[in-house]
Amino acid sequence: MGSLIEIQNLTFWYGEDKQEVPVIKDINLSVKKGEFIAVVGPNGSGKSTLIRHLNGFLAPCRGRVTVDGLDTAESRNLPVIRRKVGMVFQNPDTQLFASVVEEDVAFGVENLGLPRAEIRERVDSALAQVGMLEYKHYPPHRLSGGQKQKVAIAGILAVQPECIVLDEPTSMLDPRGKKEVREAVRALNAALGITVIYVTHDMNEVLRCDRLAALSGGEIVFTGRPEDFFADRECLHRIGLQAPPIKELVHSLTEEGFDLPRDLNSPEELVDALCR
Amino acid sequence: MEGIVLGQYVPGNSFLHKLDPRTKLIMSAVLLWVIFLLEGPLEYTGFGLFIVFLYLLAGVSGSFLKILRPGLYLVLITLIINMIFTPGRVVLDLGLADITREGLIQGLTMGFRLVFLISMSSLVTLTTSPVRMTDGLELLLKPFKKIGVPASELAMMMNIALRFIPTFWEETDKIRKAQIARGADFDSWNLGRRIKYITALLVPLFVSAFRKADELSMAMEARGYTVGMERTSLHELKMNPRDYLVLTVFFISVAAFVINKYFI
Ligand SMILES: Nc1ncnc2c1ncn2[C@@H]1O[C@H](COP(=O)(O)OP(=O)(O)OP(=O)(O)O)[C@@H](O)[C@H]1O
Ligand SMILES: [Mg+2]
Repeated sequence: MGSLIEIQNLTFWYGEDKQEVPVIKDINLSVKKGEFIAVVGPNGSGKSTLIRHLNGFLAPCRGRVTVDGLDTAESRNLPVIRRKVGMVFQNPDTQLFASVVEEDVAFGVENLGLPRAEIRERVDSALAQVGMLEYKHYPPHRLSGGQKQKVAIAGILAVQPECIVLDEPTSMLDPRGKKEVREAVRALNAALGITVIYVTHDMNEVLRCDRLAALSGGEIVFTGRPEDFFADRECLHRIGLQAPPIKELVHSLTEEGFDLPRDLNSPEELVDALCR
Repeated sequence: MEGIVLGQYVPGNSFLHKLDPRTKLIMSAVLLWVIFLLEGPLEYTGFGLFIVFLYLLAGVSGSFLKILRPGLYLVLITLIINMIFTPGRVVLDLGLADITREGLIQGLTMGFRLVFLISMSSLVTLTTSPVRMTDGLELLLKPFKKIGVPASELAMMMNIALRFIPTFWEETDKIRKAQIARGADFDSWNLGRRIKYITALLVPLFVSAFRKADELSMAMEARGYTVGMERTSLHELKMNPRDYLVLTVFFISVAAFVINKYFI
């Protein structure tokens, strides 16, 4: 499949002073259509800064970012780019701004200037996709964190984007909320083929992604399959991340002499492999 | 936090709920003006009964006292200040201060006006969902767009403000509890201390509000919003025959009242 987002030699400073160490250092990354990419890295490694380039919130100081061939540095491209690339943020409380759920989901579509009947249809189908249709008349402040994030995702879906970027969407949620949101995102990727770029601190969430990009100090230090990433213990250690418990367990067992495949992602798979 | 009813909507199916928000906004604006024309106990009683009738009609009479509670202090202060500081014939000598007949009348007039103002404007928010209200406001202001009134932006601001009132109260409550846990006494009788504690409440509240505003504007921009853009809307507001009827009857009554009062 073709590539959707191209990042070429991206370098970025927040300040004017170009002598300082840049926040993003010469990053190259290409995101294919329909891919599920996870972005990980320690605090301050530049994950949020990087993804803010993807919808033109930030313009590169050096290098180029294109979405479907459109340069994000050109402001006349921004409306189209923002329609193609939706963004979900960390705090569920500051993303919903209407007094009723369905109004909020409609917000992005209303910005497109579509006729009323079409808005109605898109809002309902987006809410149904994330399983929140029955809450459409609720005020947002009466929803749980996970439900709010799902409504935020529905609001993006209603615009029918090609790509959804999520910046730590689950970090303020409890385990149940995390699971709800994670599953909703997976379903979109699998069922609708929407490209997903998922920033997270939770290593359990990246196990099943297609590709993983690890950032450290503004540089991409790894891109590839998650199991290869977690197998490279030296790299993990250097950037200060820890593999999820299941990977740690598999690793310990391998060191004890068990011959196990590297792509085991759940206790059940591990049990199967051991019993074989 | 409970008891905060300002700007809160009580869902319902009454006649007032079913009116178009524009009808309600126009009528309440006119009635707010009429309040200042009232004279004499008869007219005040009449208007008071009219408001009570509207609350009963809307089925929100339970909210009436709750709305008035925050305003009651204001009314009492107005009443007392007016009673004491208006010169005139003394009806009650309290030694330090005299209550005059003129003062009493003045105080009661102001007090009742305040009560009417609060209950009249709350009636609109009580019977109209915020979304429909902002839509109505936007449509009402639309003709003024030509002379530079940012109608859609005003409506958007109002929408956001209404949405964040509950969040704002939750936040206030959270910070207040955090400060109480650190020994703050918000009910202290010592004015200096009380001001100090309230500052300790307001500063974090504002910081958090500004941070929220920042994140919010980012989320709006990410969804393709730019100030001054043409937008469409999920809901359609429609003036029904009922609205035209109510408006006609309303304007005839108001006109009759004014003509009767000043021209006959
Ligand atoms: N608006 C800003 N102005 C100046 N510097 C900033 C700004 N935002 C972030 N930075 C700096 O850029 C660096 C990268 O920040 P960024 O928010 O991209 O990290 P992150 O990987 O998203 O971290 P986290 O995991 O904490 O979200 C940090 O050193 C941070 O201090
Ligand atoms: Mg971040």
